[in-house]
Amino acid sequence: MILLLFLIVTLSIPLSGYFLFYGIFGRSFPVSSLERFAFSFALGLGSLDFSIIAFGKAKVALTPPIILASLLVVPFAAVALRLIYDRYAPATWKKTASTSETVVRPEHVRFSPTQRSLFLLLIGLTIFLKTLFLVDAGVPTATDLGHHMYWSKVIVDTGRLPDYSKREIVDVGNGHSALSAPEPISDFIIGEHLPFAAIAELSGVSFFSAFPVSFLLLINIVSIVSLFALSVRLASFLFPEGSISPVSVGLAVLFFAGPLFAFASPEAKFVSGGVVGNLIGNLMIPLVLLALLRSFMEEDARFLGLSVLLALTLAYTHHLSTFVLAFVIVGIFLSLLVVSIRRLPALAVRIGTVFFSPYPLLAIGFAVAFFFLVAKPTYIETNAVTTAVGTAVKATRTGLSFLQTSESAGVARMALGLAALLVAASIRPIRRSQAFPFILGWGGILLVMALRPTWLFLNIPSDRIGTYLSFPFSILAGLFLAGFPFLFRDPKRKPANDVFLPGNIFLFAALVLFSFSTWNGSQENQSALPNPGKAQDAVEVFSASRYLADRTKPGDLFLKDHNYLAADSWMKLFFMRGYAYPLSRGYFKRYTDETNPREQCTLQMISVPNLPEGQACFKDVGVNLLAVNPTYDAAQFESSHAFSRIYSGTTIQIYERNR
Amino acid sequence: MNETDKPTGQSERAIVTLRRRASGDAVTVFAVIAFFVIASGVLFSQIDRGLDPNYGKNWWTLSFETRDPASDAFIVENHSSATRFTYTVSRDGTALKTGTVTLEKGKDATVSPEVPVDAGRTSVSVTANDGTKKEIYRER
Repeated sequence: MILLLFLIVTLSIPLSGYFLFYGIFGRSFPVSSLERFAFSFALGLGSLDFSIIAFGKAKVALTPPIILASLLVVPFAAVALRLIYDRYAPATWKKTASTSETVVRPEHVRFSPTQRSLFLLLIGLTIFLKTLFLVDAGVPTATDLGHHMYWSKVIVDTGRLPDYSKREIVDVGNGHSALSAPEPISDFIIGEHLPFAAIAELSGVSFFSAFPVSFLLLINIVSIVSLFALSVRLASFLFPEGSISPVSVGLAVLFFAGPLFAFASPEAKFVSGGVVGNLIGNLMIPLVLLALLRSFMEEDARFLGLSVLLALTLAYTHHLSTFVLAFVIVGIFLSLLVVSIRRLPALAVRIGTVFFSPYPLLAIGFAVAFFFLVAKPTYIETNAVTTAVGTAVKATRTGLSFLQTSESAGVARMALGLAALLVAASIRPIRRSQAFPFILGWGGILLVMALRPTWLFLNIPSDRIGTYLSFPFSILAGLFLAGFPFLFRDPKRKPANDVFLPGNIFLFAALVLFSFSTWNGSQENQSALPNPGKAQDAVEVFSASRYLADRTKPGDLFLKDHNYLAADSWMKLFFMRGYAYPLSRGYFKRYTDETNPREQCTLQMISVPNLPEGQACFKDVGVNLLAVNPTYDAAQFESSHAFSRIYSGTTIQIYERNR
Repeated sequence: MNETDKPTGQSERAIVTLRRRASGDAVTVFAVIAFFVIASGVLFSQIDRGLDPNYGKNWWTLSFETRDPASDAFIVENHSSATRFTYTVSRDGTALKTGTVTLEKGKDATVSPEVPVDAGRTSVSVTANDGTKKEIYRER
């Protein structure tokens, strides 16, 4: 029953997006079914987010009826307006809705029966592999997922938008520490939490279930469908004469982005790890680029309006992805300038015609009004953007080596992707195509951001940038794989697609290429396989948390260890007494990081509770309960008369400091 | 992948063909959704098992019933294959009371040993019939 309710509510999001899509663009909007599905899902997420934020900012309690209204009101209002418009608007208005009357759209982007079967096989295999991975890894233990679900549960429990703040231990001078007042935090953004809160509120499904992981899996699946749709469109513009079937390119891309690297970051590993923002970013970025590509190539301003709405949704969901998207758009624009260097006036006219049209201007107007009148993203309010720009302060932010970059993107994808770039740059019609900058700029700027971030004055972890490489390089590798036979085509021979190489050599080369890709992708999958057996450790930690939540009051202060306890970030969901409750002894390396000095009390209260510095921390901060893994941290408490052991499990013990 | 728009210059027949193809592509979308529904079903059933404290797991806990220092009542919660739990309550190493609790998997029992509340370390040590042992204690 819970599963059914979860599915109904979850699938209502793309359904509401479908109605909104229809309301804004009408029935005759020229998109394929897969594009419509992906755009609908993304628009549904955006509509839900903005509606809930508006209700929340208007101090309306976020109860189930309000959440339901957030899901339905905007899409149905849009449909009603569309029907009125279609019926009563003068014909001259309707004519101006599309600026693309004279542009011939590519028509050869359709599935053959074999291609449809291959698509279903590849997407089915992808989902099957990811599900296998998640069955073992999906029990809620991941740190990031625990943090995100805390904020979603805050929305459900309080019926309000969360106040992103936390209390920290701070140095107050003279060797003393204290617990600070709540301080704003910029690490979390509302769009990462609202969809989960809405699903939990409407379906009643527990956060301690498969629901967060299932929903993230859906986001991941739709992002792969989006990538497929983008690659098909891109190929249709790159090969307008139909020499290479766009759907074949899409299938090759699906092969690289789907089953081959199904487990690696940013795929199933991000799903089980609860890297919510990146996953939504990987959904929105290909869709924004798809809409931009089509608006530019087909001179259809409606697609530009759509891209603005999707980029706005991303801005309220994930700062890093928004930042990356901004750089990617700049990269594409610069590439476009280079490709069109002899046609700059025509390019300016083309861009201006599309930009200064009702759809994009209305979308930008909505974005500006929402930003200034309703709510700003938390990272803007806390001025966190400036921390991402400037001189890199850590070695982890000064760029990856080429080997590390290749491993981030997937070695096979990187190798074939770079080969595709070289080949494409040497073929004049492709090099001169105005669609080519969309993949050149995307892949190129990400390579610079990952390899040489100092050139762009970036101060963000380079490995995080590396995870964004997988999508453009999947497209490039797919282009290479699908175009491989045509590299050896001899136009003089009949049939036209016959190759000039002897059949055996060509077959051997094709097999080597295919085997290398499959071997590398499968190897990545193997290295990412989860460690089963965490479930029991997590269940023990949950049981101990429940025990303590039932026996403590808000005045009790609780410290737990992050190094050796399973699923410890989920403990806060049992207490709901603040993001930093319980306090946490973080990774040991963080206490010795000279670039980011931090308090030592959370370390000392567990590691050296009987030494003067540990005792001073207990006195200053007021911690009276501690949870540790007995294998690593029991001895220092057992030897002391200052602590009682009140709970003993196999992987967790709870100590109380005697009054 | 299909166009569903009226392409300029296309004949009526071409438009009808395109629309037919669009409905064929809708099947692809429904197939993707169906794959997701099946995957969710598997994930819900398997992860629910993962979260079930008894399914495929073997563990038990020992804890004081309350944080009240005046109480020595304790709880044995069993999620293991062991069924007999022998306890000893002692103070500073001197045994005060022993007893046995029988518990099925998935059950718990609260034991109130009724020993005098005195200063020192009061320990509750429990040994299961599978040989595993746990201890809790209070310092007074």
